[in-house]
Amino acid sequence: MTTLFWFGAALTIVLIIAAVAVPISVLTWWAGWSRRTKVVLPPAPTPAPAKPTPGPFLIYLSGIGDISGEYQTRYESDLLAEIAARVPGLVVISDVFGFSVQNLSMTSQRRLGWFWAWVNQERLRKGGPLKRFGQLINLRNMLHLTVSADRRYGHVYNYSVAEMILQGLVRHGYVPGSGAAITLLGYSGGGQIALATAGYVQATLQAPVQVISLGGVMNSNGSLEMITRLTHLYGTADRTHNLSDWIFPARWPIMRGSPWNQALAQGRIVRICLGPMVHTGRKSYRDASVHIADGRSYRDVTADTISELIARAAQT
Amino acid sequence: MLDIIEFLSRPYGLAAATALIFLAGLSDGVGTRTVGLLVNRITVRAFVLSLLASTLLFLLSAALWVWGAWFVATTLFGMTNALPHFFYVISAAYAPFLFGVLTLLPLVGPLIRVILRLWSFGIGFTVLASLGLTLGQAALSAGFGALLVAFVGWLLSDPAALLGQRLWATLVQSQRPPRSSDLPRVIPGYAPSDEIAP
Repeated sequence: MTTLFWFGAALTIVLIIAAVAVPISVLTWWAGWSRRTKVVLPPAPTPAPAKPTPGPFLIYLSGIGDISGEYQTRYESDLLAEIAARVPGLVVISDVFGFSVQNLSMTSQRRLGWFWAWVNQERLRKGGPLKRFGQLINLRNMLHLTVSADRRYGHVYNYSVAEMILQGLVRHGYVPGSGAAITLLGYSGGGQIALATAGYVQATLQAPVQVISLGGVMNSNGSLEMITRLTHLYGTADRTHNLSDWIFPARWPIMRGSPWNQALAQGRIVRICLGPMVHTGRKSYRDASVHIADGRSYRDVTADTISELIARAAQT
Repeated sequence: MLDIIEFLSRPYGLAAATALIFLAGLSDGVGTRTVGLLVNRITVRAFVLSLLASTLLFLLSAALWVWGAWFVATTLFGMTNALPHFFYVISAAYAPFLFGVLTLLPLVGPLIRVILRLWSFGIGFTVLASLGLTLGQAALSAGFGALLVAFVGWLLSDPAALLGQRLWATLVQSQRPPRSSDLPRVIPGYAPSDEIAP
């Protein structure tokens, strides 16, 4: 019993230290104390070309299980491929890691890269005894999510990630000034990153920016005053997306003046129920093996809805 | 509580009390000032200096509060404790601020700050009452100490602000410390008409 107590106490202390370390690491990076690489500003934007601009553009930000901009589950890749197949000319950008201010994958970190690589390896090992260690990745990214949602740190964090998103857009052929429509699609915790960075992307590029949240957890963010629209897609069996209704006080109905409730009242937040989907795994939004009454798979339903929203935004 | 009072009443109590308040001030300073300082991209040296300055201010305001409370308690309510003894006993009220660094925790930090203040107030009140004052007398003594700190703060606010601005301008090469919410929405280098200097 005593051992259990001390183990619990040690675990709590480690958790608190980690929770304090995340904002500190973001701020010290911002202050230039821990910046490892020199920030290279992108070349000055060229004038918009005469030929039709490419796009529309879709930036996908994964949930808290993500470890890098490159890593994706098969579910994610398949869903993005389905969406791309439905929207002609759609440029899908999925190499932005929303839980790093430098778009640096967890396995590329100087000090803890080896640790995260090991955790990820164990997580992916079928039937491995240490599979549960994978939750550490979720925990680490969840702490980044809270930093993004915190009023004190959010500006610095979201500004920095938005810059990574802009770099991604330019890298994939976006021409600033072209006015091509941009959609930020955030799944789960990625919803917070998508929403929080969207305001910076919109203000910088002066282009129509919409946010689509797929079972997203989001705070009442100032971006809501700037973006075209936030569409929140959810499943009736998804318990996770409801979290943000109560963990963020500014989303409570009594806070009528908050950006969230203002946007809700003005119809700039649209909630669409996709069906009986759960948050993750089997029967989730990205599952192609379960079907609804009309014969479409859950993934088809999700892809249909998202592609329709992207196409509609591109036309306006 | 009585153990702490007994411990602090020993000969080295005054030094221990001062150290306690200093550490509490340091922790509180880290919790409350880190964001503002780092957002302004302050250097490590300037950061340490700012924290030390805020810690000393914390210590001074604590001393002033203790003196105010002691003055009322001895003058109006006939308490006979000597000031040093009163100081190290009442310093226990600052112990919760040792956790001030937890204010940095995302989302729950501001709530923790309020809890620490209430906790500190509760301890201060209890300690005053344990020195023989009634609850009303303890409240009046603590209230006078707080008013005194506020009054001196107000009296020195203009010169302090001027000094602070000059210090800030020297350390950071900027006239006014911006807050994180002052960050521009437009990110330099990507705007269609890229007129904003990076």
